[in-house]
Amino acid sequence: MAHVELTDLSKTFGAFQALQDISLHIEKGEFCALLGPSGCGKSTLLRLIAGLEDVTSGEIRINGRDVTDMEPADRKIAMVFQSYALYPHMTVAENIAFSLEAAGMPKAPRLARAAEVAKTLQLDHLLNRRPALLSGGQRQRVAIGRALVRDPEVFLFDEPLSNLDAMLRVQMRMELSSLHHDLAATMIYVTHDQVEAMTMADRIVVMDQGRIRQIGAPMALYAHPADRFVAAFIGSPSMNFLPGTITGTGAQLTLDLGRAAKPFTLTPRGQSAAKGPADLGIRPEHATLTAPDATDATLPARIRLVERLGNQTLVHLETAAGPFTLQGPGDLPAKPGDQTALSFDPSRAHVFGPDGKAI
Amino acid sequence: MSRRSRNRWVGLVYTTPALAFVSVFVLWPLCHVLWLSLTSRSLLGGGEFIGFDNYTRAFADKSFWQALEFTLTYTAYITPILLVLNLALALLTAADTPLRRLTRTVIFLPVVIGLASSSLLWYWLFDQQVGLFNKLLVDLGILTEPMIWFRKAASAQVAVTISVVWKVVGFGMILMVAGIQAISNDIIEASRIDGASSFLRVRRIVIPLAMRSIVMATVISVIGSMLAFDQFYLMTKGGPRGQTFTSVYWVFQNGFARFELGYSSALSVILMVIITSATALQLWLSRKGSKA
Repeated sequence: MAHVELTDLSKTFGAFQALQDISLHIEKGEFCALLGPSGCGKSTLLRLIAGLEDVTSGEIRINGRDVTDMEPADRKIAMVFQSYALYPHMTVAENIAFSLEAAGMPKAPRLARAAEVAKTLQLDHLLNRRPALLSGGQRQRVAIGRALVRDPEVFLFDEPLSNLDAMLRVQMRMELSSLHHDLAATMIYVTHDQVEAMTMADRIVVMDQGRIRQIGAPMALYAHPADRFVAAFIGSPSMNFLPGTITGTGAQLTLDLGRAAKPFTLTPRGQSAAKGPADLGIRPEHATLTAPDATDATLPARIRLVERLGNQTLVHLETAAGPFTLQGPGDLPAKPGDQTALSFDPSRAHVFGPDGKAI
Repeated sequence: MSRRSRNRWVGLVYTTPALAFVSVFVLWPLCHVLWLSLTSRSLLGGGEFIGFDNYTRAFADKSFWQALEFTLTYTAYITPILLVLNLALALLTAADTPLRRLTRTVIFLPVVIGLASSSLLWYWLFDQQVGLFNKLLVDLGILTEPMIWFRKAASAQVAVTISVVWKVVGFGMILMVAGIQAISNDIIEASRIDGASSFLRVRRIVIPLAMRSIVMATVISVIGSMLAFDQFYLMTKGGPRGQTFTSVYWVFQNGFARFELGYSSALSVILMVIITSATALQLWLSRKGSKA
């Protein structure tokens, strides 16, 4: 039995359908990331699980209990908000202990418990400070402490790192991963940052327009995107899409990328293909530069811009099939204006049909 | 001219209209009252500089201290009534739904009516012969026969209190609604997840976070009550037997019934010092409370 079970969950706000037929099973101890662009419904889904919004239809079960109509406090969940939502007039200790106060625990034991939790988060020297006197990272830790002290069955995180600077975000990412490892708790984590989802999650749920587009382990989504949306959303820089035409079907697909290109042959992975228009999807690191007259050259190109990032180089090219971004090693020999050609590895190429589904 | 001194001049130019307004309508009248309080000026003219004689007289004036005592008593009971009602109504109507917005508007409407008009309206509502209030109480069986509300000081005070609460409760409510609405929704939701009951949420989250608005509403209410005049002038006329004379009513009585402008100015100055001190004390206490 899954630890968190969402069955045919829908949510409407007036005439607007925010979520549609969401069914998702999350196992005990799993770190599940809800990933998608702004407005895709991921935060709404988290708020439904938390009980902060009423469900329009469907069912939510946590640890086998139907919690669909329960108050948030009765669901045995804890939530960390994007804004941290700390009580500004209370000290760190009072913030952490507030849920215990609400549960009727006397002052001395609840402050002792808060101090215990604060110690695990290295906040013990800040117990008497108010949130305004804390740094962003410390506030984040207090918010996590407030969740920890409740000893919940499920932790919910609503974009908790988006208010932090880049360095602190990396550090907090690691701390959250260690916390998950240490507690072995079920965590549901909303983010629009695919790096956060890829680095922390056991499983990613990619959402768009109130629906689930694909569920899978991070590398499975990366290597085998079910459709063009997932392929574009996962990976940075994003996957390149080159419009073409399927001219040969069967065990091997043949794709014509236009006049200047050589026909490209690969093995299909997804749905069966018919002859007609399709997009070739190539990740930036799955293409190489080669001489225009080389035998492995597929598509002639001209280098427009080269970005040196130290350990890697991003090369922006113009081709007859459209713009293309290539990711190579830091010392890749390339300079703007050079005429070159792109070579693709057929085993790592993707083809998407006119409906956006992977072929 | 250096940039800094030019900026100062530009700043002064921008604040000139406000400074002119404050000078003409606040500072000048204040200075004039201070000067008048040191003279024996009559409303009809004349009078001379008499130093602090008016103040010496005021400290010996039993009627003034009786009026001040009544005013303080009135302030002491109407302020908590208004505070509790303001907060209760604000909590009930703070959420932005169409029905609650309508309710807020209805409760706020009496604020835009003049205090004199509302006092007259309530004077008639409390009338023994034609007053609807008496009829309602008799119909409900609370009274056996219509009563004369302004015959006894206690019932007169009840009548005035009801009329004033009806008139001003919307103002404090709006101030507190603004304070409550300024609390981040995330904080309220976090307290729901933390399991706080409605009562605990109001006591530990809403009231502390809306404290500035609550203090502001209280200060305004205290100042308004200390300056009470219209409602008593129109509804009780200070009666029965001068038991509902407020301080301002006594100032008015001396200045405009007895024509003793110098003396009434001295009473006004004493009242101003008391109100300013009370306000400063309130603000100091609330700041001290929020730091603790």
